[in-house]
Amino acid sequence: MNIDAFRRLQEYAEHSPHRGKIKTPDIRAHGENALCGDTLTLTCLLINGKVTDVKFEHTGCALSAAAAARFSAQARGKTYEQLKKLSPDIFLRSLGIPVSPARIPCALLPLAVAQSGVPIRKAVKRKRA
Amino acid sequence: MIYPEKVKKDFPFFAHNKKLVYLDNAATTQKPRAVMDAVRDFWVETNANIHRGIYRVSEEATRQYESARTKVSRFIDAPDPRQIIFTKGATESINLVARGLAARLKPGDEILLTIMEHHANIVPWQMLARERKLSVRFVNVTARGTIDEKDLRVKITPRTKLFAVTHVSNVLGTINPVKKLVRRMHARGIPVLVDGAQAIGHMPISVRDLGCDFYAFSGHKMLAPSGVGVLYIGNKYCDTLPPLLGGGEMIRSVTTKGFTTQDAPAKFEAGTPPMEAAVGLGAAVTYLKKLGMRTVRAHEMLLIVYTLKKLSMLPLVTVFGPHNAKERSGVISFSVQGIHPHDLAELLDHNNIAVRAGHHCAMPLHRYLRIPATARISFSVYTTTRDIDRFLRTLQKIIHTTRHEH
Repeated sequence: MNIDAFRRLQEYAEHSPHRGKIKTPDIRAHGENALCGDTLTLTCLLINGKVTDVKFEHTGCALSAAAAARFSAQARGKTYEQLKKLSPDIFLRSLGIPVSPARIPCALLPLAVAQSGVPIRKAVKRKRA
Repeated sequence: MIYPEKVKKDFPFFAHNKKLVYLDNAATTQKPRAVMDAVRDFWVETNANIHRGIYRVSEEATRQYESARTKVSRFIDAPDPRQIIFTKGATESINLVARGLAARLKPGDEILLTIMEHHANIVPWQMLARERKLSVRFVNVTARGTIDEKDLRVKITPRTKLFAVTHVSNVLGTINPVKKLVRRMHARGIPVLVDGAQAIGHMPISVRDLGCDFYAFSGHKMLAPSGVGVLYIGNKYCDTLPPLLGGGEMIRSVTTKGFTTQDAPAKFEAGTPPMEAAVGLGAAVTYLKKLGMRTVRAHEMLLIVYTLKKLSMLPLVTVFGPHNAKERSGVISFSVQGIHPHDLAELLDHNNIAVRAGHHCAMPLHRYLRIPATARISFSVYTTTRDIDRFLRTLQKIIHTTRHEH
């Protein structure tokens, strides 16, 4: 990765419309990369079982941030089950930059985090709102 | 005085990787030609299993293997070569002690560590604790990156049965006052294991002077091949510590009813050991002795002073660990605000500079310092100020480029 690629990743994540969190999500997933401490929280909105919006909150490296942004952008229109089954190879290719073996866990962080998604009981949340 | 440019010529790795600035010596060091020759010569001229054959080649192989043991024992100033056990590495050395002490420990006993230990000096004790229902306690470090004396006082209890401490932190670079700590522990009857993985090959070591009961290190971090390490065992434990592995070579006799073991060191070296690696370790010792360990330490101190001064002039850079060169070894961890260490390492790699990034097998320390990861540079005998300059220039460029973007 050269400095230009790094900046592209940084900018892509920074300007992603998916940054932030959904206040009353249907699914929330949180996880971290134990190796480097990167953390990622995904919040998803579903309509008729299909993802209509995903937002992400992230701390860590530029690569996992860009991967989270890319993952969120790809999520729309898929069911959550489909998201969980996303092929790591295809996802890596969709990032558009070569990922070295040591950094594959960074690039695949959103996929790993998505696995731990839990449905949120919305009725309770709405009452509070 | 070391002339690192000249020393570098002894290392074929750098002739092959001309453009590389290698600053990950805390992970592993490169090997001088003398070590490679020793390994090759062993294979070409004397390869036979040691301690067994009643023929001259085997006897010569045994002589070389045992001569490596003697060299190592002199290198760390051990009273007797039989106190030098060849293992696979520092990790196996520590595990050997942990397993060996198991029978002496009772539920409720405490193992005292410091928060700056490498996982290799944490997990074996946690495994033991789980099995024997012991508790593992950690002494904190101060903001300066040294052992917190006050906390140490609190954590030593009548139940403390062992103190295991690193000689040099692989993250903070701190040189712990091992001699003082040993004296203090021994006054209370607590044995001390020292993890010397980051100290060996960087400074003169005398286990006699330190007075520790165990001293563990790896060959590959001191210019020798990987696959061989050392455990120094104090006289008190040489005969009473049980072996970790059973098998050939470690026995005196075996019958269908049982076995009797050899004396140390054979007792601890079951199976065919890494013979050529041990011979290579002997050659590495000879090489380092020729440079002189005091000279090696002086060379590293020059590099530390130089690097710390230059790093402190860069914006957004935080250096961890003591800032006084006397208190630290050539391991410098740092972070750059706004650039994750992993990104930083990859950007430096793009410029042919090899540094380490991550938690450096010391997750508890990183959690304690509340930092997810750090970037780390570490030196060896062949590290030049030119290497450091190239690293600093590139780092400065990276910081400059990314800062202007925001």
